[in-house]
Amino acid sequence: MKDNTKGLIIGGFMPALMLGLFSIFQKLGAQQGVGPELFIFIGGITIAIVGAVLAKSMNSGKFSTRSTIWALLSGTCWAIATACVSYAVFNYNTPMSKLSPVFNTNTLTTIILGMILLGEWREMKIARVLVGAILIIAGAILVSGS
Amino acid sequence: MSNNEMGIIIGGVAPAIILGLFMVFQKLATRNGAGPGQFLIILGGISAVIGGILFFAKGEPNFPVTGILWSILSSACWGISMAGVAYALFKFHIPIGKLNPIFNTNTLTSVLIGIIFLGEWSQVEVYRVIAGAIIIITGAIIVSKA
Repeated sequence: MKDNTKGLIIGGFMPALMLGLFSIFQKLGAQQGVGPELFIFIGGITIAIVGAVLAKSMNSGKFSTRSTIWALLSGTCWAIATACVSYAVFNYNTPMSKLSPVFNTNTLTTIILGMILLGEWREMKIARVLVGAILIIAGAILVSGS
Repeated sequence: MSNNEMGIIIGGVAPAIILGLFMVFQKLATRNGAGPGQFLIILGGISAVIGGILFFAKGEPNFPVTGILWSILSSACWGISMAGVAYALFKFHIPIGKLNPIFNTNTLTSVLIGIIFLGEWSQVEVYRVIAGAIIIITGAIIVSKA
């Protein structure tokens, strides 16, 4: 198999399937009594183990105070967001097929925040951002109102 | 506000915003030298700490075994997906712009599995959810190519 094909499978198709399963298994966990706090507790430990294996198998960069602080902030956001999803499934029994499309609009948040906070607007095609944003918002309204 | 609306806001809209921040901070961590393994260790660690404190502070913690197994499987899927993306980027040098549109389709995976296998068809308007998910993915691809 060509390296390009291998890369697209490992970094594209496999995550497309497994990130989808992540939400499905998260719901199954919630249905069996795992609340948001327990989910991010167990999830955190599991992900740290995956990270340790990854760090051993490939060059993992250097620990620096700055990178650690940003990673801690990022991890905190992940934990809060994931707990929110679990909370909605656990307490309101909201269907994952509704939640997943809505929280996946985060691409738009990332782009907008990147434009504002990281000054990325200079290197972006604003018209594309606008067209994409309209589609994302329209899709989210369609899903959440269903 | 109805339970459905509360669920969408807490489990959909809030994570969409917070996950946007997550990705911006992840970018900053990477720019400052954090490797993917190191990043996952720190993300998992902080998530386990926050989840652990909240879980054990609630008192009388119970451990639903089946639910915990689903949760481990769920977060392993997430961690392995992130590892896969990192591996494809670093080892096979596939540009993120090529991987992003592929793994962005994960929403469709969770929507389809949720509807077919978790019986969510009874809770949602199937065509509306699928159409919405496709529109969101299209928008996300356009935005990430801007």
